[in-house]
Amino acid sequence: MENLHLTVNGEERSAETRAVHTTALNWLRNNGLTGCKEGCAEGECGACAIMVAAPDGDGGTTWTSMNACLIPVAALDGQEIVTAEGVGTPENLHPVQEEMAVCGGSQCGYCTPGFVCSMAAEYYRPGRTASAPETNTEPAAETGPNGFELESLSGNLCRCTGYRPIRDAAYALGAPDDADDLARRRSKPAPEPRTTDIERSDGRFVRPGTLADALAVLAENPGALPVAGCTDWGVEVNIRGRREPLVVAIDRLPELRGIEATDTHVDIGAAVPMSDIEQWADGRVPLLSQLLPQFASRLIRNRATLGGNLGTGSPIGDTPPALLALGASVVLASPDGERVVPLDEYFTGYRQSVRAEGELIRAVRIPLPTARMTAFHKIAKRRFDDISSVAVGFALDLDGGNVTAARIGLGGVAATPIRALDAERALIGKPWNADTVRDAAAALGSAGTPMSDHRASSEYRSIMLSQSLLKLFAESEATIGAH
Amino acid sequence: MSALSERPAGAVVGTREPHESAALHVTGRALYTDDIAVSRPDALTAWPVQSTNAHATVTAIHTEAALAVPGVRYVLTASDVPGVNDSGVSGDEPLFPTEVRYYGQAICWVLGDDPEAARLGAAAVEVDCDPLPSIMTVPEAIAAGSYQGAHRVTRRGDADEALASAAHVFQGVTELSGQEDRKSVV
Repeated sequence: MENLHLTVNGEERSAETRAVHTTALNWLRNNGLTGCKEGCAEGECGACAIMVAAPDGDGGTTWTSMNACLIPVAALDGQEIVTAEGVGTPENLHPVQEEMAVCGGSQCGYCTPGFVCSMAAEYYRPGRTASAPETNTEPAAETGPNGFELESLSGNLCRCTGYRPIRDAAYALGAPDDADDLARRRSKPAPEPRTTDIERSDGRFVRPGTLADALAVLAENPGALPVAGCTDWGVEVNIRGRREPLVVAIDRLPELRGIEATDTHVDIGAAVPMSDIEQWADGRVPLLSQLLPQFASRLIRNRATLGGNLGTGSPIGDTPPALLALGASVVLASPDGERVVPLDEYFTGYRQSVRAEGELIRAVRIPLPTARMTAFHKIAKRRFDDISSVAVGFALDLDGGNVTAARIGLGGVAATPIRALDAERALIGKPWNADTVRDAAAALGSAGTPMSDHRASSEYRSIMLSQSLLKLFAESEATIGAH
Repeated sequence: MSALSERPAGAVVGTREPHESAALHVTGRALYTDDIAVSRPDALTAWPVQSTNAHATVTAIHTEAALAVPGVRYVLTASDVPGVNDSGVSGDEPLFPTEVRYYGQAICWVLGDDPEAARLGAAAVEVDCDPLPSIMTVPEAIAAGSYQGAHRVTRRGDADEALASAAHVFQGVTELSGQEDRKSVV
């Protein structure tokens, strides 16, 4: 019975597992590393956060925090991970652990190992630089004077401390010193993915090495499930008890991991983690820069992918409204070649799409340059890390005070993500003023067929659609000025 | 200025005193119940069989299929309780209810060698229930006069007179959840 191989806290281990659906969380806990905790088993609380050695795109390694509850342990075959036990010991505390201890960052201690890993990942982020003492002096500053982005802890919940001591610990951290092993590890490459193929009584887990191999496995096994970040699949496994006879891991396929931009478009690989897209999009695609920080949490974004979000095809997935506004297309790959489908034509029904059995999303193609006025509005009960009630993506162009182009994508008001075609028509060719916007907002408020559920009533959803456009107009008045 | 304001030698106030378990917390070495359980090969997992009715009478529990699931050792029911079928607070909720009072209430527990066996075993238990009427919303509860605890009244001044003489009166109904009322009420 072939085993997996993982390096855990610097130690190479042959990892036995009795089930292919076993999560990294459960494998760690069943193998003596109980620091990793189950708080929710669905990627919301971060009590299971660990650090994984991931490629930094430059031949080195970046320590990346991830929810262990959502990663199949089989997906970590050949990989290197670090848990709170590996960050430091009671006799030899790591600076992150030392600060958390002296600042009072733990009370019951249950969330603490997860916080330590998320905090350590940010501690080691190469881009983290201290800012001038005069900046970041507001009590609620979201970046510390040491350059620590509080966002890095957005996927970790604490019920006891009220977060203040944890933030204090995070902002008190210095820079790693030269003798720091985890810091030095960054200069060497991250482990390559292994072509895992293991079978147990509950199914088979395969990681093909190339796109062609992946397509071949899917062709030979109709009904096989392709998975990437597993941030949705993991929830199905843990909470709904789903098991699949064949799971095919495509998150490390090199053909799906690039971002290639030309003058006319950018192809974002279907398996590029959202946090990598976030870094690329900064200064290039403002709409994505607005969407991505609101997408789940950084822990999730370190795994989640566009291919996964579109592949799941939930009507409340947050990327489709923005991608619809951007006029995106889906590049589908099959053994017969590739085809490009505009995203407006991609969804055919509730969680249904034109993607055929055996086809994979290879990339999402966004035309460039993007529209000049863009916005993403996520309306949810919580500010962060919540499922939207509705989500709206706007992309407008103005010329001489008139709207020359308008694309509006909506989520949460129909069985699929949709375009708000009536509202778009009410804007295009009209002057960008209060009268036009009022009429278009009314049209937008009638879009789709929102339902009432525990998140929001249908009336509220419709009102929020209208409000979105009014808000866009109000904000544009403040910024456009001379237009 | 008096010397009272000066910090005495050996002062305790103001020194950093990490939580007694801080070093164990931050290094993942603090042990909680489940941490101890998973490190023991002889610890079984108990998985609840949960009610799919908000209010019902349990008339029968069929465990044969569950006991046939590999790794399942036993199904705990009320007949296993040597003393009072209580769940901690005397005279309150039974541990193994005959009258189920909320969706998701545990009716019985499957013991398995590992969580997966226990989970599959719990899915295989069949429970016969007679559904009973249930009150699911606050308006339904008010209509049925179904209140819990004391009926509190806060009274000050003459509200009717004040409303009658107010320049503007706004009225309507808003619904909000219990934990949000501190910031949502305008």
